[in-house]
Amino acid sequence: MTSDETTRYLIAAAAAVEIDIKPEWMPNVARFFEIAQGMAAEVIASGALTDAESAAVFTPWEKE
Amino acid sequence: MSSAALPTSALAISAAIRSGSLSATDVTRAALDLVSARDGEIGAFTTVTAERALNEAQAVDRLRAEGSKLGPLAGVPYGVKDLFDIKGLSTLAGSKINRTRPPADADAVLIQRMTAAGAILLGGLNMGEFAYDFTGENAHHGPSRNPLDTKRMSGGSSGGSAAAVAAGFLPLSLGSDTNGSIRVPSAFCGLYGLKPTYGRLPRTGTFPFCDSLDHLGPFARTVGDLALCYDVLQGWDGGDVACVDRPSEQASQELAKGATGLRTAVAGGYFRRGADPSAIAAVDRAAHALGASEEIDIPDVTRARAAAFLITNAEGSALHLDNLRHRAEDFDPDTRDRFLAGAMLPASWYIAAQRFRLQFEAAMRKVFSEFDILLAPSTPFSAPLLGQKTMMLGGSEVPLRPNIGIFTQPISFIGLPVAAVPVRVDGPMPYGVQVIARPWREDLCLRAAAVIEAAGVAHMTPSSL
Repeated sequence: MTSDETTRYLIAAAAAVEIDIKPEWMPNVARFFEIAQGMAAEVIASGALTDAESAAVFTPWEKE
Repeated sequence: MSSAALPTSALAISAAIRSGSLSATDVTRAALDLVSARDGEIGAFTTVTAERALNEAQAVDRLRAEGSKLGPLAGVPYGVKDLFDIKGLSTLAGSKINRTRPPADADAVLIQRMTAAGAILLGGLNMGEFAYDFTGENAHHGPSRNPLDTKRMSGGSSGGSAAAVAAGFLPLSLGSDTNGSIRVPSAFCGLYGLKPTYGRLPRTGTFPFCDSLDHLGPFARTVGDLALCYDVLQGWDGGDVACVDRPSEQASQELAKGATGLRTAVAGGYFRRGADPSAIAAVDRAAHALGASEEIDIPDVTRARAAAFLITNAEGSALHLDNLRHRAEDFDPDTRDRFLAGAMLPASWYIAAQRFRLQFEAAMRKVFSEFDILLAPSTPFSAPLLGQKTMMLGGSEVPLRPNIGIFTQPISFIGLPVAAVPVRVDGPMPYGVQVIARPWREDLCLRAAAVIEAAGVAHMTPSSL
């Protein structure tokens, strides 16, 4: 994403999760989001993740 | 009683109190006097629980007078990071926002265990806001300063926990470590720290940061004290769903076994790049003490660090979502902007990061089928100056905060136990070495740490108490 696209995404996503990002905070928030984006690209890069377990396994109770 | 006349280790203090050569009340008063006289320049404490401490000390002295058996930490003063519940106080977690929380109605489980062992709680210790920090700086309470050089960072987020022990106010403290928050301040302040296996110590009664990665653990000035404290803290508690029901596996008795039979390797590749030469030299000195000559390259460490970053950012932001909506201006700006960004991460990024944990665990399981101990630097550099924003690394100027935890994050990502060992190199500031073992083998971490300590390459923190 370009910087403008990041900002547009953040404005839309903030509205969706009901957060108000003040204009003076936006450059720093966008910078952190772009760092996270780079981290996500690193994690997803191998493409070998789909058959791995995602998180803790939920186990229903056995008896009433 | 002057603090100069007191023993400095937890082991020696409890032995002196058991023998009757010291009273717990005298030790406690001396520690409170030290905090009162010197903490203004350090900033380790946010709350001093003097009345409670003196009551606890008097109770220890009464038990001894009655001839009752005393616990292994009888009369030993300690403090806790300000995210542990202390009965009757609001748990601040380094924030302004939590000042409106009601007082805790019970102590955190680990405080209850310290009390049962006879230890004396002196208060709550400064920390980075909501534990999202590697520096020890705090916009609301001021920084916890490094006692070795008060112009420098203590490290974070358990900065006060490290500063209080390094300043000699206390022989022991408790902190938390999500991505390095025990190991980084241990390195910067020249202390031993233990981040146990994920799920070993119950987090019941502590304010969370990131459930998938949060650990609790102790700081000390000697390996013997660290192991003793860890042994007291062990045991399952059902209040923490991540806590694993395992028997207590006492480590103190393992310390004297030495390096014989320990298969030790140095982490190469990622862990040898991006660190200053003294950080590498510290690892090499520890390796020499352990007789280790092999270097291994662990695959995918960069991804592991990236995945830990995403999980932390997403879970921490979700935890604080309501306050981000209604009280965003009450956060430390540095914390707020990262949480705001994290609140908007796509779910697919978080899920990919969680999925990668099992892959990385499989790779590390292979490493630990060949070795018992892995050595790596704790941080790429020694303690930076307070307020510093960038750092020269490998000839390039890089942002400081994101780079402090690059060597600790990949290890806690899969919950491996780590003893942080302070090592002397050139210059006045120490460097930290991570002594890493397979899950549930804290005893091996501590045993190897004891070998390094005995070899004389460890940093010796001057102590007052």
